[in-house]
Amino acid sequence: MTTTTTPSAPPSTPPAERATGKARGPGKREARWGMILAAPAFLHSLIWIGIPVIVALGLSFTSYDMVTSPVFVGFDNYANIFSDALFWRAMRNNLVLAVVGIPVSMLIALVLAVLLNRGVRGQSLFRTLIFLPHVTATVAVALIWLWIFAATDNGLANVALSFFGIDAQPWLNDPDTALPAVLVVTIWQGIGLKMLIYLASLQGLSPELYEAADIDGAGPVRKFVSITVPMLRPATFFVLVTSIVANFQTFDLIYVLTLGGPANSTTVITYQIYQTAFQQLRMGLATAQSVILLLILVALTILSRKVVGGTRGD
Amino acid sequence: MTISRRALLGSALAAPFALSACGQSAGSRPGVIRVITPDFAGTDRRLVLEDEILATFQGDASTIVDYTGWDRLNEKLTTGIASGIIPDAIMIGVGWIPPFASKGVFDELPDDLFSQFGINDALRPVVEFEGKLHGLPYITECRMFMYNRRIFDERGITEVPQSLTELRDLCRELQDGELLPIDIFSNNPRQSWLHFMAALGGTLFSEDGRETAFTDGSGAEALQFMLDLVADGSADFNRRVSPGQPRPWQREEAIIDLTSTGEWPNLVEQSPALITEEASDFFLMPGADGNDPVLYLGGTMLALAKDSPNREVAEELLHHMFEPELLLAAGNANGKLPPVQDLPPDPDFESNRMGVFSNANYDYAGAFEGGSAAWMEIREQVGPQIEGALTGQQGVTETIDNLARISNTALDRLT
Repeated sequence: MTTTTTPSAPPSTPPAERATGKARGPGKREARWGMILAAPAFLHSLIWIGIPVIVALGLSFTSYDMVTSPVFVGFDNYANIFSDALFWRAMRNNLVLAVVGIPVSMLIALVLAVLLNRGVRGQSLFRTLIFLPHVTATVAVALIWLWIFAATDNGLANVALSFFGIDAQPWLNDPDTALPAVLVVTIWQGIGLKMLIYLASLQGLSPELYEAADIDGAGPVRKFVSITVPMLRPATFFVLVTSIVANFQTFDLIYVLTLGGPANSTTVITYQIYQTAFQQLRMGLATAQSVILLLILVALTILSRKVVGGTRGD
Repeated sequence: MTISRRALLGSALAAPFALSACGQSAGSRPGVIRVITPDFAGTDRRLVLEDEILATFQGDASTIVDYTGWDRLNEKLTTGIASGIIPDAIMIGVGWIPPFASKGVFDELPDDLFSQFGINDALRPVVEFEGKLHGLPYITECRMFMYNRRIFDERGITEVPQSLTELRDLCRELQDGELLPIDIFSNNPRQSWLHFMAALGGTLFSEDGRETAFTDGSGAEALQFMLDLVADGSADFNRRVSPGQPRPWQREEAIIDLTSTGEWPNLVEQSPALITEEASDFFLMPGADGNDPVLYLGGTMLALAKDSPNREVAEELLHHMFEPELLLAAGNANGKLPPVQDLPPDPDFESNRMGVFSNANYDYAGAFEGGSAAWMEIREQVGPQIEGALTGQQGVTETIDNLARISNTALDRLT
């Protein structure tokens, strides 16, 4: 048998106490419990994020090869980065992938979400198919695209071109086509998650707004532009920020697909950091590059907030 | 307890070093030999290492094997060193000995091991640092040209080229139809460039590993030779394939392939009709006029950790692993070759025509990576520069200048 007890309502804080802002009795207890419950997450963040970030910051001022002891070099690593053309080439590639890839994939995701939100037949199947690239291991995705972009006549992309009488292209072997090819893969892989976020947001929109617009005689385009898009602003901000961060974290795709080549034409910052750290064994320089990347991501997040208007839907 | 901000920051900075200190005791320990290897991947190969090679070791220690891929070896090794977990026996690539020996990670080995084990002296430079032995070639991987014999016969070609000039002429002669005369790009472009440079008598570094040597003209000439093959229409960078994909030679789209013994297992599996004596044959990279031909030497080297608490037993293990039968087992399992030429009969090895050809030509093993303690820092920056020239992004002079700048900057950092 189960006995249930109705919890007694918490005693309300006297108005006078509320006015003075002093937390006493149950309020203080609640705050203490809050801190206790938050402590594991705080400790986790401190140990696995806070300390490594501080240590990385310290290492960025050293010359460290992981075998011999670190040597303090002041701002030398940062000076090296600013004169390193390869680092800025990687940055440029990341920006191309972000500036072109993110808006395109967001637009496709939004259109797909709106279509799927209209209750089309087989909606669940379409949703799963569109989301599938996101949950598939990037290494597997890259291997499939390696075959698609194979420079031979048997590569799927070249087979498709041959139907139109176009010669086989050396997709990943040509510096001029390699980055666009990588861009296609990142767009394709990024649509699923964005679509899902937009779809969830669309399903949370109040139908009354659309009913009111109908009464006012608004057409589908007007409703999309004046209601759907503004109401999706928090979702857009979230999608934008997570996409920017994900873009600057792209590594495994490049590692399997191109190794940053040919001639560094597809190298990205994380790949350069990996190369510097674990191939060249210049850990101090690699951590300085990581610090720069962190600062860029913070700046881009702030910029996104300004442009899109943050997480508030108003 | 109150923790000041200074104390907190101090602790944060000290924590990793404290963890490193803890790692020291968790690393090598007496009585247990730790071996790290980028080879022997997959269950069958592991069984060869563990059951055939290590299980038969009678020394006073048990063994633990740490398997990792070639792409992660450097990362795993250096993070292991940083945290004090240094394996006792370390398998590494060609070019890795000087960088790690210079930092005191690899120990010096007795100089007479080459003669004791019957290893060809031509392989010696790849395991030396400052004139002393710091490792041994364990199982090698060699590069040479493989050609389609049927096409040679059809065209009436009976002689393989004896010089680079003859190689270029031969490629011109093979230009008709859709077949590519030669594929030199499905290989790693860095290694192809080094191979051509060695044929021209060039090396990456001076003998002491402290100066850039490819700026003597051989580096530029090698790169120009590769570009000339492209300009002739004999080679095509755009038709190279990614590692793991069937090569143009396998698809019978190329007549000659600059290939490696590491490809033999793939050929056996994927193109058995192309590897018979009637279908294909091999020749070494011919030298520039008057020079000897050149075999490119890669593969797996074996070194012992300097700070190993099991140093003596580790050397006993090394002696055990260099038993000819066990070298053959290791080589056969990994598609590589024993570094010794006096071998007992072994049907598996003898059926590897590419391996037998390379093994018989160790005397010409004159091309290899490395040669300087700075090589690890330079290594991954060479390929993109060579690709830059091959794709027309930059000229030969600019490429060699860039490579020289990268090399000199890294060499300047050597203490």
